[in-house]
Amino acid sequence: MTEIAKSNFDAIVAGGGLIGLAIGYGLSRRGLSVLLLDAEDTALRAARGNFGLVWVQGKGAYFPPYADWTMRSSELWPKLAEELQETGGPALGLHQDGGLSICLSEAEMQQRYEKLDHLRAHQNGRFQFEMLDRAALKEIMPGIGPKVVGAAYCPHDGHVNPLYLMRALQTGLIRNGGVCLANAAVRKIDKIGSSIRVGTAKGDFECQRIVLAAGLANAELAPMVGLQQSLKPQKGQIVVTEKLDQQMPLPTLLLRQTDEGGLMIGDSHEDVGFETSVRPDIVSGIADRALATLPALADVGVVRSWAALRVMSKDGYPIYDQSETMPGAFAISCHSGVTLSAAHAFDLAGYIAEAGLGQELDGFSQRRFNV
Amino acid sequence: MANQHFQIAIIGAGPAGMAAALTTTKAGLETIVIDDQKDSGGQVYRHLQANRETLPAYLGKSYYEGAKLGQSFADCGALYRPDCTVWQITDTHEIALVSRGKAELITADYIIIATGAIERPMPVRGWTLPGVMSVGGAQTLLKQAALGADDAVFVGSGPLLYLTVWQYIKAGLAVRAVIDITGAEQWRSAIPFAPLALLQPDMLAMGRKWLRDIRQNTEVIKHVSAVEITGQSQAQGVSCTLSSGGKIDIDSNHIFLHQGVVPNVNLTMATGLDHQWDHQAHCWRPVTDVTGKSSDEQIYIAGDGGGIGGAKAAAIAGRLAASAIVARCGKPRFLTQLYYKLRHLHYLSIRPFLDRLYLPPVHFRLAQDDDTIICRCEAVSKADINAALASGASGPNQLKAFCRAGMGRCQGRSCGLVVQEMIASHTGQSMAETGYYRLRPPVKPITLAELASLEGPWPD
Amino acid sequence: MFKSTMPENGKIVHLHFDGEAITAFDGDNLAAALLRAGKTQFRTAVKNDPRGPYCMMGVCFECLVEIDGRPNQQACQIIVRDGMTIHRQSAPNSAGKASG
Repeated sequence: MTEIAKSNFDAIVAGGGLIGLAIGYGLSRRGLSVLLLDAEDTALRAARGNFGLVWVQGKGAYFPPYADWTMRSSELWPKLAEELQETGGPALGLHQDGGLSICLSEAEMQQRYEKLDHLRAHQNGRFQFEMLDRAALKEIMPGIGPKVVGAAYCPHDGHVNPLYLMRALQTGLIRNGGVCLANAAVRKIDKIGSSIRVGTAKGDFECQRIVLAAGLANAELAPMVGLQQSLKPQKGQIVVTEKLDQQMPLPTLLLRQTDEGGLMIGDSHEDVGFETSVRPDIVSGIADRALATLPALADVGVVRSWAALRVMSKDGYPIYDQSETMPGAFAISCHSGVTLSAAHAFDLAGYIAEAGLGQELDGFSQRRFNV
Repeated sequence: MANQHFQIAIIGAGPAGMAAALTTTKAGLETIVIDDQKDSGGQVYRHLQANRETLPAYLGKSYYEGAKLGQSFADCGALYRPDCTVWQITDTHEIALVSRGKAELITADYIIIATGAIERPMPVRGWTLPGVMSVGGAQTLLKQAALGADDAVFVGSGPLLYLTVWQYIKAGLAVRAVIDITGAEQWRSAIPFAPLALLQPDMLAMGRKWLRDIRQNTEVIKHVSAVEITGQSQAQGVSCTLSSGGKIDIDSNHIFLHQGVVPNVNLTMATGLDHQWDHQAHCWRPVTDVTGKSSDEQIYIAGDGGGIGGAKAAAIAGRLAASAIVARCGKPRFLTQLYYKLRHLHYLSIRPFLDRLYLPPVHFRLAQDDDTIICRCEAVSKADINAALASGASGPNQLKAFCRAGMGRCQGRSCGLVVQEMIASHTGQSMAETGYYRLRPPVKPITLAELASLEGPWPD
Repeated sequence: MFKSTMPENGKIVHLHFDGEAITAFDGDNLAAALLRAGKTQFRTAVKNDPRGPYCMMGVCFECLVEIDGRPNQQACQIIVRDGMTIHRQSAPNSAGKASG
């Protein structure tokens, strides 16, 4: 422990979820020495609650920088998957064959269409989608229930195993010489000479750059580096079923099948503060909608469920900032940790390593809320 | 059926649950007893009401001692609902259960969780093969179906193992061998607590009787450092490595494993109650006060689910928790409570001795071979877990995320303690610091249709 | 082989296990009935490894069988019914059915 404390890292990443791991990995593959500080195994851990979608449709429909950034990440994902597969762990199961957002009413179809049409208009043809009526959808998913009206299909969508993604990023980070320290949540950050000093329960560490990627805890940490991140928890609940034979050709927004065979079914959007209990009324509603989508699932057993807190900014888009009062300090948060993993590992890590966040990401600054 | 309310809801109809119901109904409190078994008795008194007709003598005196309790329970006036699976208790004390394909919500002012114990996992190579069962499973077959295996090999240690072998002998079954993993180290740590155990001379005498009859009727193999079960599509035999270096191979298609019982904490943990690591018993237990009140003011825990004590201690614990609740409902019984507290302590006096004597050696608590399956549900081996540890997994939940151990239907009942100890051993943290899987409802699987069928006081 | 330790009597009940006719007694625990009939393997699990009943108390989820078309039934928690059709569970099988 004393050896680690003495060295001065090129970068310390505060947070071992998807954001921290992707950035930490990205920095390490560029040759930077990285120390990743993680909180407890039973901390809020939003990333472990992730559904696993690599999703493009609808994102940033009313905020073009987010639409661009999402599309960019989706295009970089195959490269990330290929690199990470070399860490030798379990297959990530990346599938980018498109995705569906199922609609159970004409109103839902209309709403979806308007949003995606708006997105298409502002993306200069880069973003593609198609509204499928019931007959067209039935060709892809023969088992759809009578209440299903149709779906929005987007060829850019996909899914991956978010937990194996975390494992691969962490393995990759360690292989590139990175150090991961658990039970070492950041408590204090200050400047010491030309370096930044980070205090944790496991000792003090020094670095040239600090990346705050601690999810909801970023709200407390950001002021330590002269930044602000106004974040609120948004609760989401998910259930997971026992394994079935592969029967879902494409993931949908609320129902996807993992490579192992289990179905992941979501979700909810609840504004209840820092509360992560699983509620029977919510999961009952989730089950209801799943059965409306695919009635043949009636006898399938739910073996797990969870509730996690999405890291939500006021508008739901990422907040990326670098400090002016503490050069080398960055604060990064978003709730689409899986989709943006590739952009984080490649582009964002590059900005952090080199010149700083730059113009492309200006739109994501916390400053946009100060109007 | 939706929204039934009771003053007391008791979950589990073993000795603790049954005894608790006797106290609450006698005090006039509306009581429901929810049980996932087909009839009362839990596991220790399983099938007892039915066995009173045929009276298989080999089950022994202490089994039939539960008959009176079972009969009184049947007559006590509690609403008894067998064959119901509780899958969640919410923080507003709603009990979500499934019965006959339909989900229901029941509310109660007070809840007594009396869900008992499970066996400590014993991961040895080949333990997932057909023909291998837990000793508790073998004993249940004797109780439930008067079924026993000839030429079975029993492996492990602990009172349940010795009792079951004894019952097998009394039933006329030929026991091929008993491989006893209790060693000198266990005796050394237990002996200082023997004087306390002398407070229960009848228990000690019973144990000695079992051990003597076992010695006289079968081959007992001791000083074993490793055990593996051989076979491809089913168990063919056991191969044990002796501490002295030699090997003994025994042919058998029926291998029964046991290395102690631990509280079944799945419901209590998923309910969010506080738990502590019990260093002496080497397991998790809910944090309770002396009456069994948990970290939730309305929820009590009674019986082995709160800490292993055996059937008699469980019944007293049920009485004790129920009396505490009855007192809170305005009918204090100070002397009765004191009596139960003292009797409870008395029954637990043998535990420091037994817990130490039958704590399995670490090399049996952990698997010894890389290809041994640790998480049975997801077929995750020791090597797989070590690979996840090498990838930087530093806690049980991160490890679960990295390699799926603990993600199956059993929710860690068969692997959790082993995984925890593997992580502790790798990271150097204590068992308490390492922690456990974060358990969530449903505590047992429930179908989508059952979930969707739940009616509640919420808008659809 | 499992054998009876008490005289066998009781009403006979007929079951089918993977197409084979088996007899049991009225009121029998299903897992026990199958074990009595010499069946120790009830299914194959996630990596196609053979499994059978282990704990007999509903906590290990090893004794899963398909009964009258419904998969994932814990045999140790079920009482036999005359005419029950039981199948070993294995992967893969037809769409919609759970496996493993």
